[in-house]
Parts: sequence; structure tokens; C-alpha cells
Amino acid sequence: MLCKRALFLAFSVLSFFVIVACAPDNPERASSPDGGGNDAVNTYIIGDEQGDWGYPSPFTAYPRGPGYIRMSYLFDNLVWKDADGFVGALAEEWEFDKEELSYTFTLREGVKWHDGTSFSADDVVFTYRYLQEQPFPWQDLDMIDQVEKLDSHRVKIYLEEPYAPFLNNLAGVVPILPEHIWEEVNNPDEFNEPEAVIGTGPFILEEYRRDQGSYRYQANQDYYLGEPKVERLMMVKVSDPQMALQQGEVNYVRVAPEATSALEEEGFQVLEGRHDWCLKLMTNHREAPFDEQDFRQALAYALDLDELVERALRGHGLPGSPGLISPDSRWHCDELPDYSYDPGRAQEKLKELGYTLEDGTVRDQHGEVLSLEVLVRADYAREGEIVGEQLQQLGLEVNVRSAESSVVDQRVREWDFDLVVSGHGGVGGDPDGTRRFMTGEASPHNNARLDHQELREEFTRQTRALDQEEREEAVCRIQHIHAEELPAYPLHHPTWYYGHDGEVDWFFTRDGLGSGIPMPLNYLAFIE
Amino acid sequence: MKKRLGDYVLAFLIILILNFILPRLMPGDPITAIYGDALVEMSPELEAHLLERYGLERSLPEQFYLYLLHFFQGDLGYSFYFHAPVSHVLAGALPWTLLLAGVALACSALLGIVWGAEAGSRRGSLFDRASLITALFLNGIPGFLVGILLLLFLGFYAGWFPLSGAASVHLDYTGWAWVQDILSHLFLPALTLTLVQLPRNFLLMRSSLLGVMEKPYVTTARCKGIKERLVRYRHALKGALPPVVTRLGMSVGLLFTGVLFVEVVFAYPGMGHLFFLALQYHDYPVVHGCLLVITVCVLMFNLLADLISIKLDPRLKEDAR
Repeated sequence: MLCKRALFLAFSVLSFFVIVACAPDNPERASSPDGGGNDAVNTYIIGDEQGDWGYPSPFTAYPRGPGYIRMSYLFDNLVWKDADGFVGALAEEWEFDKEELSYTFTLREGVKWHDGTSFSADDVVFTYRYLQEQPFPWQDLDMIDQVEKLDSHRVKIYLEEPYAPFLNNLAGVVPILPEHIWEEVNNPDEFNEPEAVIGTGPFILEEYRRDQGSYRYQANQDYYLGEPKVERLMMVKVSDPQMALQQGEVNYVRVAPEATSALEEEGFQVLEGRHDWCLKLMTNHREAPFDEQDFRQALAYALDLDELVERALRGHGLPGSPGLISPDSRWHCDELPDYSYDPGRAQEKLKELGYTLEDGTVRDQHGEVLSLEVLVRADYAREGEIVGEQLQQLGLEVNVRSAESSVVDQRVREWDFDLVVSGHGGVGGDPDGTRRFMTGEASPHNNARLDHQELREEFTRQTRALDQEEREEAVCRIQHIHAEELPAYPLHHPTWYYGHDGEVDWFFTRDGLGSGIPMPLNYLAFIE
Repeated sequence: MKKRLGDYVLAFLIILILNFILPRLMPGDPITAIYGDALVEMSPELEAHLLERYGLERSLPEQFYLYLLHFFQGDLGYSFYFHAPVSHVLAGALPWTLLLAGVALACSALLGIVWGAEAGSRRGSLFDRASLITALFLNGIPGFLVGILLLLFLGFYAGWFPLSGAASVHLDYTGWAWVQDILSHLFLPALTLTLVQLPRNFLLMRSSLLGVMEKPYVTTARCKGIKERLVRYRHALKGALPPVVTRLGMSVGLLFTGVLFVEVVFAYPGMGHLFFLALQYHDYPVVHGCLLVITVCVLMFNLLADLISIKLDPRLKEDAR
């Protein structure tokens, strides 16, 4: 009896699945490159492997690029950027007064919040004051002295001191919040209500599902720059980006370098990203032998970055620039010290420091073999091995250890390492952001923490420089100092690729989206 | 039975303590994990605010006290990373995992028992040998590989099933269409997990039955002229099932491990994926919540298996007293 029942159950479960399997295909799919885009509801789908980037309010979106982008479709800033530079968003015009250190913003009139309420200068004043009190995860607002409403459509922001990246890092990053909603909110990072995502942006949030990692936006038909090209925008989680694009499940997705040629053959467009992310070799420059500048330079000469890019990235990347700022950034300085692979030079430097080289082994003054550990983040183990190999060829005894990123981060923070292979983003945007990777005590896990008077001064100079030429000069000097001191040697910048079906003309934003997100997903691509 | 319940309570308390200690033994801290690679520079004010906000500035004993206090008040805490109450975060993930694991457990148990009984009772036959080889082969393939192969062939090339997720989120299906949508998303992950569990259940059932088939009472039943099929399922199976059921109960822990990989392969939004993220970002409250829910599930399935075993084998009742 038991047998029959069990068989029957198993059979019915199976047949159920078979019925389902035979059911007609998923009726709604993203338009494929040869297929369509003529659906009644014109939907655009952006795929992403993680899916969930938080509820897209300014306080609950996760503090990463994709979280900011999901929020930027709902909230507008005073200014925004396109491929060439700043464009007006909620502010139509702006003017800087050098004497007063103030920006006057002339606001657009007739703008409405998603709930139909009118936007006004009060909202701007409220937002800036509110964010000075509440810890805002995207930008520190300390350099703002005060915010003043001049009349119903003009606002003046006074700075404490000159701050060159104001438009890029503040006016272009801070989302303007509706005062009538947020004035009562005391714990903004716990504010998960539907009102928390009401902005003036080109899209309105229809549905967010944390469990599915999906977002559904509806076009804001009253958007002041014009109605978006698509009626519906979705961001969904995919398990395999390339397959999802080929199957027509999504219109846009970041793809692996290996997938690009196959996709292009099938008629998809592939965008090659800017190089904002950098892998670097950090040195413990507070301890011997790494405290010698010449020693650090010797290591640089011993490393063949072209080989590294070829072997570790299969050519999909750029060798690092010793000044840290990405080689394809408009802030990159061309005349930097050159550390092209030169093992002879590396050996010479070591000899000058008193090391001896016998039978291919480097020994110090006491005749001891020079031995060191290369600690590498597990996701870059391949690079770690190559670096280890190349340093071994110089005659060092190298022990390569790979560890989980939290282990590596902790050991860097505590100066408990010799050499570390680790990386970070933010080297392709506004140069002010690179300070935290070079000097000071902020983000110690990827900061070289170089104690260098001139470097600090040059950073202050570029922050305060109100003249573009002077700023460029200071930024160039910063790269020079980093390249000479080499507290960390930039190894490579991997190239990221984005595949899409061509329905939307994506482009790269100058200095990155917001304060420097290197992705193409600028909402202006949806506006005619 | 009381003694057994006592064991369960003790196990639960130990797990409660380990649950607090283990995540904190991981190198690294939540603030660096969540904000370390963020776009912004972490200002001292923001860091102080976050530490206070998450209660991380308190001493460990204090944190432990609050952890227990909140736990017994039924409050699982507030997630650092998700910016939401842990209970909400878990409620979004748990149903999917229970659905996936439940379907896979049921299918693999039923199929394993029937398959094992059929093969075991015809020991040495062609069917038995073929089954044994198939099972050993399946047992040797890692779960995620099975998943990737199924995804590639049935999902991508054949296009019969969706590639990822648990439902077509953007479509507001209702009624039968909704059920169909859920099931078509469930099919590949559930099949993967079933295939991973099946050989173990088959092998266990087969060997257990082999032992029973030799027993005198089975020979007696045969001698009485009862049909072979009835002997196999009414008499022999009854004796062979208890160890299989116990093992099934114990294998739920393993099942959850399997779910983790399958959820990653199919981007299925369940506990495995959630747990992975929580560990990555040192989101202690969510780690606690996940471990707690998984522990409770495993303990409950063990208890259930114990109870079923007692039902199946009255001798155990005597032992339990």
C-alpha cells in the first residue's frame, strides 16, 4: 500500500513539473536586438549579479555605486553631469562669487515632486541643513558654512573655505529631498516608507523587492527635461549575465571580458569601461627594508606590469601609473618617473643600498637572505603569484600568501605586513578623492598613509585652487610625489565591459557619475 | 521522550552562544566590510555614528547581554547592511528556501526509498547493478556542477526554464499563472538538489533493505505464500525504514549546505544567498538570524525524524522512556 501511495505521489509531483515545463514561454521578455522594442509597454531591463542594492532612498541605498545609481533615477541634484561636464538639473544656472566664497543657484520653476507637491527653494535649503545634521553616507558637508534662500527660486550656499570640487562632490552628489516629507524624520536610515523615495527624478519607484533583488520604475511623465524614452525601467538580479543578455531576459548587463567578442558577433553593443579601479602593491614603508625609497623603487623596476596585464587579465586592462591616478583620467599627469621593467636597474638600486647579489640571491649586509611575504586578497591570487614570481627573479625569497579580504584589510590597518596586493576604486574621478588612498588616516585598509608634508600641502592646494590650471598643476605634483615615494605601486587597472542591445545610447560621464562612479548608467541616456 | 527534549533544549542553548561568538571571531569588522569600499571617505563623525547606531561601541559582555535579552523578547535586531529589521529580511528569504528544500527533500526521499527498495529486493539483478552504478556516479558529481549543467542545457540551450530567480518579479501574475511561474522557476534548482540528495537516500535504503530481506520474519512471510511485492513493501520496508528516516532527519543540515550552492547557481533568493551576503558584510544581526533559523529547522527535522522513527518502530518507544 505504502508503495502505491509513494509511487502515486512521486508520479503526480513529476507530472506537475512536466505540465509546468510545457507551459508557454514567459510572455514578457526584454526586446532582443533583432526582436523588437515595439511592446505596448516599453520596458528596459538592467541586469546585475547582486540584484539588491538597498531601498533606493538616499539613506538606505547601500553605499556603493549601484546603490547610488538606483537612487539617482528617483532624486535630482542641483547639477548633474553628461559626457562633457556639468549640466543643470534642479538648478538652471549657477554662479560662483570668489569674494564671498558662495554659489548662487537659480532653480528651475514648475518642477513637481512625484507626489504632486511643488518643488521650491525651501526644499534645497532644508536638504542641505538636514544633511549637515544627519550623517549622510555619500558626502561630508562640513565645508558648507550656511545655506540661504534668496527668493522663491534662488538659493545661496556659502563655503567655509575655498573648495574646488564643490560642483562635482557636493552640488552634483547631494540629492534634494522634499521638506514636507523629511522634516519629521529623525532616523533617516530607518525610514523605509513609500514616501522615502519621493523625489523629482525621471523615474518613480513602483516596486522594490529585496528578496528578489529587483526594482521596477515607472517613467515620470512630468519630468522637466522631458519624458523618459521608456515607460518602464527594471533592474533585476541575474545569475549569468551573458546568458541573460543573449536570452533577451535583460537589455543591459556587465559582462566578462571573454564574452565580448561572442556578443558583438550576435549584434550586441559592447562598451569598454573607464579604468577607475586599481590593483596596487602596498609596502610597509614604516619598517625596514621598505622604509628606503630606493628599495621601493627597486621593487617597481623588478615588476613587469605588461606581463602582469597579459597573464592575469589576458590583456583586458592597463598597467598602473605610478602616480595612482588612472592613465585614462583627464587628471592623469603625463611626465611621471618611469618604472618600466628593468631588472638591471633594480639590482643596481639594491647594490647601492648595500645588498649583495650572489648566485641569484639577494643578501643584506649581514649575509642574510632577504626574505619577504606577499599577502594577497584571495580574488587576486593570480596577480599575487605573478608578483611573487617576478620578485623571486630579482633574487628575493618570496612567500606568497592569499587570504580573505577582511584578513588582508585588518593586517594592513595594523601595519602587520611586508607587501600586500590589494585594490580600490576611485582613481578615475575627481582627484580630491585620491587623498584617502595616499595620506591621512582615513580608510586605513587601502590607504598608503604616507606622512609627507609637501603631499599634504599639495592636496590642500588642489582643494582650494579656484583656478583650473593651478589645480591641474597641484594634482600633477601629487602624482609626482606618489610616483617618487612609491608607498604603493599601482599594478593594473582591469577593463570592465558592458553589453547591451543598443536600445539606449549609453555613454560615460565625465569624472564618473556622482562623485565618480565609473558606470555608464547615467539617467540622461533615457532623456531625448 | 522528556530526556530527548532536554537534549534538544541543551543543543539549542549551546548553539545560541556559539551563534554570538563565531561571527565575531571572523577577522575584520562590519564598518570596514560595509563602508570600506564605498565611494565616500569615512569621516570620524560618520564612523562614530555608525558604531553607536549598531551598538558596536559597547563591550562584548554588554553586547552578549543585549543579544540574549532581545532574543528572548523575540527581537532579532536591525540589519547593518540591509537597513531593515532582521525579521523582515529573513521573512523575505526563508519561504523560498523552505519551498526549495522541502520539495527537494520530499522528492529525493520518496524516489530514493522506492528506487532503493526496488533495487535492494532484486539484489544482483541487472537493474540493481545499473542503479548502483548510476547512484555512485551521481554521488560523485558536485552539486553546483549538476546545477550549472542543468542551467546550461535545460535553461539556456533548450530555453524551457527561466535562468534565475524564484519568480518573474516584474509581472503581477495571479492565480494559476502565478503558481506556474513559481514552479517553472523552482524546477531546475529543485531538480538539482533532488539529484544531489537522491543517491545517498537510494544507497541507504538499498543497504537497509538488504539487511532486512535476510531476516527470518521475511522468510516466514514468503513461506506463507504472500506475494513478493507485498512482502517487499508491507513487511520488509517496515523494518528497513527507521534507519533511513533517522538519516533523512539528520541530513537536513547537509541539505541546507546544498541549498546554499544551488541558490548561488540559480540566483535563487533564499537563505543561502542571504547568509553569504551577511557573512561578507559582517552583518552580525543577520548572521545570527540566519544561523538561528537554520538551527531551528534542523533541530525540528531531527525531532520529527525521531518521532516518525518511534511510530515506525515501537521498540524505540521503550528506549525513549
